[in-house]
Amino acid sequence: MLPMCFGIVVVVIVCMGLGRLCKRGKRGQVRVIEAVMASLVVVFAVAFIDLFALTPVSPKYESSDLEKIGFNVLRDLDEEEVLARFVNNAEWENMTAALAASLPTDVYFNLTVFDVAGRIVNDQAIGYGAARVFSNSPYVASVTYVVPGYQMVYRPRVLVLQLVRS
Amino acid sequence: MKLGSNKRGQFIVIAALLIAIMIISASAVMFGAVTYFKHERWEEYIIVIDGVKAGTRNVLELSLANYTQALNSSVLKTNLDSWRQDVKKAYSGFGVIFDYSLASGLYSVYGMSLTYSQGLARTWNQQISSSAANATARLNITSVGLNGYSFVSTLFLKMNITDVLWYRGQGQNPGTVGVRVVMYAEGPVFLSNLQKSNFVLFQIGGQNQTFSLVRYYESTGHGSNPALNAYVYELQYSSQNDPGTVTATISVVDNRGIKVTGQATLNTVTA
Repeated sequence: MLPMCFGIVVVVIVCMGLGRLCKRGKRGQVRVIEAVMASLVVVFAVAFIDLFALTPVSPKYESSDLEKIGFNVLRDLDEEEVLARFVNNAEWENMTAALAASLPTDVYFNLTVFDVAGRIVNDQAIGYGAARVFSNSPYVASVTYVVPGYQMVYRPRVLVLQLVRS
Repeated sequence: MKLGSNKRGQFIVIAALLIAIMIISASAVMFGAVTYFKHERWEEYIIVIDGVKAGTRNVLELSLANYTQALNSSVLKTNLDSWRQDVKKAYSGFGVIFDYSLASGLYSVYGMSLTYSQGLARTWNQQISSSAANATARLNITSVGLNGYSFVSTLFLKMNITDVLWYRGQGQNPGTVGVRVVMYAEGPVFLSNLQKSNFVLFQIGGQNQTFSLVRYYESTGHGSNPALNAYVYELQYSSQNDPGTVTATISVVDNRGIKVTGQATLNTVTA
């Protein structure tokens, strides 16, 4: 907003000056000044628009980016046929190690495993990073992934993975 | 105001101002359009869809494993009925409605004719044997107005007992018989991650046979046999003489738990 206001003020001041120059018969200088002014007006307009551009470092991008990373990591572990085993056999330490190895080092995570009735299944924490990291962060990405069962048995578990970038 | 005489040059400034107003107006419209789509949780919807697809495939896997190992022919229908309810609970807030239909009747699957019943099929005890599952799923996400998103989930495991090789022994040492098997998963692609423990049954002439497993990509051929150009599992056992003809029965349970059993009577080929 500031460049736009500044631009309008400059245009008004120069317009007042142009009137005086025209009266003195200095038309050549007036043309040059007008051209410069016209350029400035357009430049200020473009700068004004640029204020509203959503850049890739915006938190909105950050949150969805983390969700994609989280989902891809869970799906990769599932395709490697280890995710269902970790959940079914309650291998929470292996799960923590696998997630820590798969996620970027600057990402904190917290995984909670629920059954379909909403009861927490994991009896020990699966995560990396202190609890206050999640409570203090304004943007916590959350991914839900369902593991339907293991080997021949249908026993669904809902995995909720929370992610925060340090 | 004498615009036509000594103040004609100011027209350029006015034109520039008009252009600036046009740029800002056009950008405001574009900004509105872009942010409208940004405010929708597209990434989350895509993740939900991909999650349901991956889960459905997993349901097919464990159901086919159950069917091929426990021969429960209605297991896929039972599990998908449960999955339909559980998806709704797991993604509550999105309004996910999952429905499905199971393959039934004769289908051509990767060059094989398979007869499905309740989405499951198996053709066993043949030289080329297979196990398969097929379901078509439909997904609605009411919160975003997505209706009728449909995808097909197919699983396939094929065993081809290609040939039997005879390796002569050196001197008084016994020779070796090698029964060669090529395994395929859906695609079809060669299944190359099997270990000896995956071969749960190996019988010669109806009798269990101890064996050692050799794995390699075959691209040379043996005797009059052309090259298989495939990833081969060779189940080898000792024999004093060339048996001439071998009847082999082999069962494989892959790492997904899906089982297939093949049987073939083949003449030996000297390697």
